[in-house]
Amino acid sequence: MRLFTGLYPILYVVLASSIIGFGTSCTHAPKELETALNFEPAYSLFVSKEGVNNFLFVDSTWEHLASIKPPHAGFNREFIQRNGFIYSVNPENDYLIQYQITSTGLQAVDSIKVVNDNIEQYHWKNNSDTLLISNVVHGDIETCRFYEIDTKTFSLIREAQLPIPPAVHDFSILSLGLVRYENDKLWIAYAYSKMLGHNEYTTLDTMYYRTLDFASLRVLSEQKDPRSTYPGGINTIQTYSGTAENGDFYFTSGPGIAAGNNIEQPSAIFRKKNGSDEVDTTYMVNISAQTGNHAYGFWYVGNGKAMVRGERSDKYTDFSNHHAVYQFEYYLADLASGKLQKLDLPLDKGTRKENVVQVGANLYLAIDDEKENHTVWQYNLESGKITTHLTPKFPIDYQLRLDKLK
Amino acid sequence: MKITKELLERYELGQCTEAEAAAVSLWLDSTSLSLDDDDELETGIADDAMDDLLIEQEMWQHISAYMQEMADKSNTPERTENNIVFKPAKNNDPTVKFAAFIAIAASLLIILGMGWWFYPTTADKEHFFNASNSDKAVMLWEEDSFEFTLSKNSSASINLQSGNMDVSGDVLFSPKKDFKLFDKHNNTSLDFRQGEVYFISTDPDTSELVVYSKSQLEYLPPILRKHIRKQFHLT
Repeated sequence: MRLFTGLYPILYVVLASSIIGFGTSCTHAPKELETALNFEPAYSLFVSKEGVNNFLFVDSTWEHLASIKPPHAGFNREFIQRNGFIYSVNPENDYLIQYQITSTGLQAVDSIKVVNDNIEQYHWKNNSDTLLISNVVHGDIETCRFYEIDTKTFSLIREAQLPIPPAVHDFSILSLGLVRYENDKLWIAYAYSKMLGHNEYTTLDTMYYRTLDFASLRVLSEQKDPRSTYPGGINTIQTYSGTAENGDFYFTSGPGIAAGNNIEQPSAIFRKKNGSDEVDTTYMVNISAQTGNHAYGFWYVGNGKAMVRGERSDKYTDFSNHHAVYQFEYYLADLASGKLQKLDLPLDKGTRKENVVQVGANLYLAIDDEKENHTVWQYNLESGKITTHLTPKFPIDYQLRLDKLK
Repeated sequence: MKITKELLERYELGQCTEAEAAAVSLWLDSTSLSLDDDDELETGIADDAMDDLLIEQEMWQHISAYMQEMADKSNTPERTENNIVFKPAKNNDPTVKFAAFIAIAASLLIILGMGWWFYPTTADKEHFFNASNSDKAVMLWEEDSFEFTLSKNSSASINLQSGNMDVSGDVLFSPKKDFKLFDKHNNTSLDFRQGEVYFISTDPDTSELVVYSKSQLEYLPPILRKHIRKQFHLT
């Protein structure tokens, strides 16, 4: 007995060292993929190589990876995921399809016909299973279609037209930037653009907000905000808003060339206080004033902090190479002080990405750097430590999404 | 038994003995049909000629078998009465040979003539594509190896032989095979892949060319993407 008790601590040390050593070595070497999804996926990467997309599912320990082909060739990154289900519009027939994630891949469960082959805005009503979708119906006169879907039964509760004006002057391209349910009201932020030339456009220099009665969709109030333009953005592609612990709602504007293209106005963070129908005109964090550039993505990470993804105008020539050059920087924004802190991460590429996930104090960011590393980085919010976390051994051009499957 | 001209004449006249008739029948069934008194054939056959002869025999056997099969199917009175009618036999008549030669030569001439007559127009169709749309919202051209969708006030031409392309306005190009094409205005070589859909746009003022595959459209600003979708009625 003495012998065994004497050996146990040594054994523990040896075991612990090998586990730590093994773990450390794994974070730096590209991670091999398993041939089948034989584990419970906790995260998913949605990657693209030469236009071909794939899911890479990851387990909760980040140790096991398996690739799963999307259900059809037209399946793109503009999907919604929640509770083991994925929702995506099939561009061939404009059906919103509910898929279940299974060990063999995404199995179609049910479908609902919608307008357009994409979703411009989605929102989970009261964080419940009720999915709210808003799309602009393309046409000479643009209108706004609204769907309320019970995802438990995958049935349409309501389909209606939202009372959003189709144009302001000759700015007749309507963009829905944010849609949010609160206190039996629907709050919508939008903007108007127009074509200037063959492939040139600009956006009117005002952000528009409307509050509707949720039941009747009657207009309760309207607000015009000239401090910036192009509020939010298509949120199936990237997140542009977040709600703080106290219920205050924060969002960004995107007047840069990759969104609103009214570059004289600043990219900024705005706030709509909990319980208020109005955007707080006294609050604004001017991102452009601090970075000298525009920004597009915004992820609230708790304790009054948010991640901001900013472009570098010295790196690209125009929108034709905006997505392909390594230019994106990540900033930690203090929403109270308005200060931005640049993170020590390699420059990322891809104009829009849904690539930030939070697990406790750790943030995981999927970055495609100029050394052709396609790596998930870990940033610890408490210690500020930044380390490489996972590099899948898989052909990748862009990690378009990193999702925490919830 | 030697098969001679005299014997054949007697065979034709029905003056042969049974043994002679059987020998002639056998000879007619054989493939060489050479008369045993033909010294030239018997003595002057070189090795090559012998090979040719063997091939010829084999061919005639095949044809004979085929003719027999046809005769069996046709069930004509001649067939039942006299097998000879269906025996393939070389016709040594020079007039018939000449007529056959003339017929073959004439057929060849007609075929070549038609080829010459139709070739330029077929080649035009295969090597040059030219389309323009000035008034309709969108127009589709479907070819064997690609499809073009032209929005209003747009044109597209391709010389498949030289690989030159010229696009004005906004078009969707859907190749059904891999293409490597060259845009002279912008001095740019472009690779198009089978099965992909490409948005090709040229600014009429600057001739600046923009090419995006459909999968790359998602990287465009949402407003431009929406504009292109509207142009081509993609949703």
